[in-house]
Parts: sequence; C-alpha cells; structure tokens
Amino acid sequence: MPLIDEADLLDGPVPGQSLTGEVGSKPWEQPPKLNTVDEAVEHYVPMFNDEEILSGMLSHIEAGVALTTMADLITKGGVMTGLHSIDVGLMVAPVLVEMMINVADAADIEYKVGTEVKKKEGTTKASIQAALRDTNEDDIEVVELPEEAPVVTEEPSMGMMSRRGV
Amino acid sequence: MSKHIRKLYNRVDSQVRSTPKQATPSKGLVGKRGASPDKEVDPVVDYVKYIRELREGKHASN
Repeated sequence: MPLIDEADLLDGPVPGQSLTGEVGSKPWEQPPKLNTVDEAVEHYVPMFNDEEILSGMLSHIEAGVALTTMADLITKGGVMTGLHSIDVGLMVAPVLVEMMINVADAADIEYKVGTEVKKKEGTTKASIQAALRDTNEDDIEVVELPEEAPVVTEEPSMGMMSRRGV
Repeated sequence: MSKHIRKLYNRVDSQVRSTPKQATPSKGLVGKRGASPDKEVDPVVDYVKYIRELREGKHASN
C-alpha cells in the first residue's frame, strides 16, 4: 500500500514555495521565545502535569511509540510555533525522554526508548561457525550419496558443414 | 532529527552513568584545593541525573 496518495502528492508544496512568503511571516522565522535549555525545560515540564496531555502520551507509549520519537515530535512542534530553535529543541529532548520514562514507570506501562539495539534475525556466518564449533565431529554422520551416471552431452559442432543438417 | 536525539540521548546516558552518583561535599575553598579545575557542566546531564535520582528515590520508597 502506498504511504502517500498520488492526489496528496500533487497537493504538496512546490519546491521553493517557502521562499515566496514574506520574510518573518512564519513563527519559526521570528526570534525564539525560549533561548536556553533551562527556559525550555521550564516550559515543557508543567506539560507532564496536564491530565489531558498525559493520557494521550501514555496511550501512545502503550501503543509502542518510541520515546525518542515522541520527544522529537514535541520539540519539532516547539520549533514550528517559534518557541525555541532547533538546537534548544535537540538539547531538551533527552530531558523529555527521561520525564516520559518517569511517567511510564509511574503508570506501570512498558515503554520503548528507541535506542535499543535491534537483533538481527536469521542465521549469520558467526552463528553457523559457533554451531559447528559446538557439535562433536563424531556425532556427524557421513552420508554417501549414490553415484550418478555422468550425463554426456554432445557439444554441437560449430563447423560450417553442420549448419546444413539442421 | 529523531536519529540525532537518539545519539544525544545515548551520549547523555553514558555521561550520567560515568559520573559518580553523589559528588563529594566541598567545604568552602579548602575543599576545592585538590579538586580538578572547573569543568563546564552540561545542564542537560544535570537534569537527566536529577530526574533519574527522583525516579530511583520513588522506587526505593515503594
């Protein structure tokens, strides 16, 4: 299934469209309101006391959304509304992740930080070698395969006279 | 940006783990005599450390 409908793709912005607007007309083109990490933390931490926000957040955590992804969305929202710069958003994200871990722990919900190392499924060269090392050589039965009669195939002659017969 | 956040979180996490849980209390200037020169403390690391301590305290009380 395609992620984006073709019609939506055509409704998207034209490359360079953002440069056609008045400079400073967008919130993120204005000077940010929160300039330091401390100010950003002061802005975001009370959010974790809001029941409405908290219930939505917990439902997302329960659904398996990684906490780093959620922190990314929250900080991106802050950048879009002109609250802070991208840099401050990036700096405050680990604090948000920790706060979300606190919230998830308090609600006794399993969470995914997003930094977990993915285990590769299937066999790898190393796993095959380890399995071979573990097996005793005496345990391996040698099965003799029945000899097959060699198949003789005649090579077609490439001479000029052979064409006439074909 | 999510990738950068993951990287930064890992770095902050390793920094928090590497620092001792409770710094030795300094007693005025005398206590600082043998101490290493002032390091720039990352506020993010401080915040994360503080939040973790809060969490551990909550776990301990339960």
